[in-house]
Amino acid sequence: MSQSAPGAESQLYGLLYSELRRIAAAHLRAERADHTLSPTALVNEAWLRLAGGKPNFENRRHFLAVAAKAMRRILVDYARARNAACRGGGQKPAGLDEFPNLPAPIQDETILALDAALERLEVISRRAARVIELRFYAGLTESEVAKVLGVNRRTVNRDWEMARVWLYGELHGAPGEGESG
Amino acid sequence: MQHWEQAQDLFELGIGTGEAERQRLLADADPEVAALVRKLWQQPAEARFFLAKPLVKVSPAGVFEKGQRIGGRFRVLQCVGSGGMGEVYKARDELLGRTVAVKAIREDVAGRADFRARLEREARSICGLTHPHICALYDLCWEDDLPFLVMEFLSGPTLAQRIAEGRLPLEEMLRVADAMAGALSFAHGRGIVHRDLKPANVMLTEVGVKLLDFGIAKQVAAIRSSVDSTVTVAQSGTESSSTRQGEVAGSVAYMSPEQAGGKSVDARSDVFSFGAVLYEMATGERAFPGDSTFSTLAAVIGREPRPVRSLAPAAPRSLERIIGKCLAKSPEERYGTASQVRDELRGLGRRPARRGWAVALAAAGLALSAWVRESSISQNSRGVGYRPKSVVVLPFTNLSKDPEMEYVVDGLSESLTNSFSRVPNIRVISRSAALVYKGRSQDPRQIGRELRVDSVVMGRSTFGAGTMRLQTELVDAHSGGQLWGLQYEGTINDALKIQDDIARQVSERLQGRVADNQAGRIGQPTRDPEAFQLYLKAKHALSRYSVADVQRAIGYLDQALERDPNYALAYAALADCYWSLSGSALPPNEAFPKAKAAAKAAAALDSGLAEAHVALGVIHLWYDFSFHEAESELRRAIELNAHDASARLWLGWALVLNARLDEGIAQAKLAHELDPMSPFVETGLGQMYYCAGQPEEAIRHLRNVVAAAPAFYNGHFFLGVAYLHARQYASAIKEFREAERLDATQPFPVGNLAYASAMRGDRSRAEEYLRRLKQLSESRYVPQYLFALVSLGLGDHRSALRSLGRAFKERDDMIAMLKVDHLLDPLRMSPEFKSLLVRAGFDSSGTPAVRPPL
Repeated sequence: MSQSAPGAESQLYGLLYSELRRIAAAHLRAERADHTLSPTALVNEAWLRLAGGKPNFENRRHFLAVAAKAMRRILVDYARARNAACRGGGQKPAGLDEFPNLPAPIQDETILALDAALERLEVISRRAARVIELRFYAGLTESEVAKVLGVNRRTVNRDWEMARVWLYGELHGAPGEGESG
Repeated sequence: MQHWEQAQDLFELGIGTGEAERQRLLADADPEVAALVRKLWQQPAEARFFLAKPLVKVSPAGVFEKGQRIGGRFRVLQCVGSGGMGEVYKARDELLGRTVAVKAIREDVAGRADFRARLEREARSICGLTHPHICALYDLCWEDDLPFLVMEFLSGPTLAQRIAEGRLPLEEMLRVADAMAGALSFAHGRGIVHRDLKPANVMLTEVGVKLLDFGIAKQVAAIRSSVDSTVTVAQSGTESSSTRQGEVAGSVAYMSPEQAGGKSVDARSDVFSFGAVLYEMATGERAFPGDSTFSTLAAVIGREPRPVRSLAPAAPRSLERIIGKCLAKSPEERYGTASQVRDELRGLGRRPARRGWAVALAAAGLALSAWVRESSISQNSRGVGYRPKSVVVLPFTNLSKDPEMEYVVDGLSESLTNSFSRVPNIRVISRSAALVYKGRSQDPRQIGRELRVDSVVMGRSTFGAGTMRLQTELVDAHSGGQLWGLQYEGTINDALKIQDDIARQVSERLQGRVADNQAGRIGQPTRDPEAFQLYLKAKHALSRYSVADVQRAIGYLDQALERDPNYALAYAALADCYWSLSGSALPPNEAFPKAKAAAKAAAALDSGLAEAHVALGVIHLWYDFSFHEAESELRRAIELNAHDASARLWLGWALVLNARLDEGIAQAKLAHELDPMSPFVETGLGQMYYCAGQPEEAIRHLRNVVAAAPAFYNGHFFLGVAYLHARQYASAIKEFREAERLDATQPFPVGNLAYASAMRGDRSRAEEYLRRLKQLSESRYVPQYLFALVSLGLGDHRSALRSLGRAFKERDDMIAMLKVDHLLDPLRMSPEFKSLLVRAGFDSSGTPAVRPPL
């Protein structure tokens, strides 16, 4: 994140994380049976609230860069909560009941395995892991990722291509193979 | 971290190679890197599509940002719309200082490996589409590895928005349709099919109707759908999921059945789409409605649309028929070309459209004489007061067979022709049409039928020692009977008085009376008989058009002007002599200033002299490159003499050179009608057709010219150029050789032979011709354009551009053709070419003026 100080970033991250949870909770209260909140709708709503009436591109990029991390965290929390709920015989862990209807866009196991694999990827290439995070969890385009990371688009594209193959190997390969790095 | 990047290089190198190569690649690698890469290689193909779809799909931010400078010179001003492949921005070209539209292509569309090559190929063909009704593509640029298209900036509603307000009145519909058909037939003539014609791709701008997204949109859609479908394949595992599916989704409602079926398409597919747009304009309803892609598709392929008149009862029956024929399911049953549809629509709209045309012309300051509509022989019975409406002055017969006297005899009949041209409401057959009858037996009735004329002036003369006798008569071409006749006797010096007398008397006969000012005009070119004779000699020489003849003509005119310095007509002829020497004997910057001085003198002496305005128009056009001034001079000339074919031909050029092709060709056609036998006029018309991207039509006309006048250098030369445009190099070479044989002093055939040889791949011959051209340039003026052309043929674009730059400095008249010379298309994308266009004074918008509605 080239444009903001680490302090400011973590502050924004905190703000965003709680905002996303608040939106999900609000949705839950207003919820109709057929209506579920998609990750996309969640992010969009958070953006509209935080950016207010004056969105601009740089803010948006900055927002999404932070939202990527927050979304990743929230999805993991949610998958863990669901897992725990299943194992715990219907008992939900406290504090996570505000977004039960956030649908799992991919399987919970995949969310968790992906999160773990991304942590391993960070050891080999922080940049590649961040590219995945920004593109996959926040839908940034390659150009936007390039601007966030201060590299050119070609670099982003190469990271994106190879990191996904690497992650596929981590998630589909034989257990125990995932410790390269 | 470094491991990752080393692995990246090796990983990419090893994709698609065998084990041996992979082992070689990893031989020197760090073991950790090697393990990493080997693992990556081992993953199945589907790994490449893993996580391909982001979890969060936010509406993408614009590809470009406001204020961003892209492609090194375009400042993004604002986003003005977004479409399937990305946004459209208004931007400022900071190099050329103009506003442009930038069409961004999003990275998921542009990401495909072969995309760049395909897009470039497409852009190259589209950028040659210079047409007033086609949104011009200026450039294809790249920013951070993402392509974007730079186009003419237009504003206005789309036809789709217009139709949403309700169906179009017939006249408005015909106007839009005419423009669309013109644009389509132009593109089809250049082998380009639009493929995505629909109301949303037609803009109704202040400068007229504009077709957008020629070829490009579909090209991109095809690529895009293949990207999408690849992803789908990987995820669903059904390998057969076709590219077609995505391709079809775009604009199905306007798609031809064959296109919807994924078959190859040609111009007739556009004719179908055009029909669907016509239908919607006429009725306000879609021809093939459907609530889903599938049902729409089913309608396109299998259902007949509801009859136009059931939705729009006021629509003419023939409109329904025309639209029905466009919408035939089988391409064979449709119109073969868009111009056929246009002709039919024009026929349909004759009444209202004609009115519009006449009004437009009047508004443009053109007095369209009545003869255009009365050109056929009047059939009514003729009583005592019968007056003919058209006349031809046949070349007088020289009974003395003294070639020395030829000029007097020819000159007399020519100046009579000119005199009659000034008489209102009389159609005068051109001099060149009349010349066909020189030396032939002259039966006035047969001539009347052939030239569709109802009276004939004939004359015979004999010369003695210093004396001449002339018999003239005006004959009714229907009966063969004499309407008027006179016999003169006098000295050669009386020629002036004689022509004066004949002109006045015949005019009176034709007109009933002659307005005083006209009588004055006819009678007073000069009071000096000798000056008049010299003028006649000069015109006679000028009509032969060889360099030596023209130089002789200048000699005669100088003498004439010494005798009568106020002889306006002589100054105008002098201007013609000088500009016609440009390029062939003198460099333009010597010839044209002299021509200009003479033309200005002529206009100053007699501002009502059409010839002076024609000369000024020609100079503005081919030397000053100021097309609007040329246009107004030429329109003034036409006002003064509506029968002047050359004024119309040059006016045609003034329009064509600024890409107002239809209008220009219409003027040249009028010129051709006025003077059907003139090889100059038909040559000009032919040239305009290749400028308009219709080389076949150009070839047809120029073949006529060559057949009628086999010894006419220009005919062969420009037929050769037309073949170049048609890429028929062998035929081109044949014609250039013939032109060269007819006039060996000309550098033009040599330069064009070099180009044609190079384009045929015969490099050594091309270089040989180039050497000859260089040799020639040591002894005479050789236009730089020719060197540009040769460099272009040899693939040396940089030299070509340099030569064009020099051509501009020398004010080579070929610079005037810059915008419409399609041989130069390969250079069109380069910034040097564009700045040259701007420097040469072409409107940077690409669309100079509002076109009169047809």
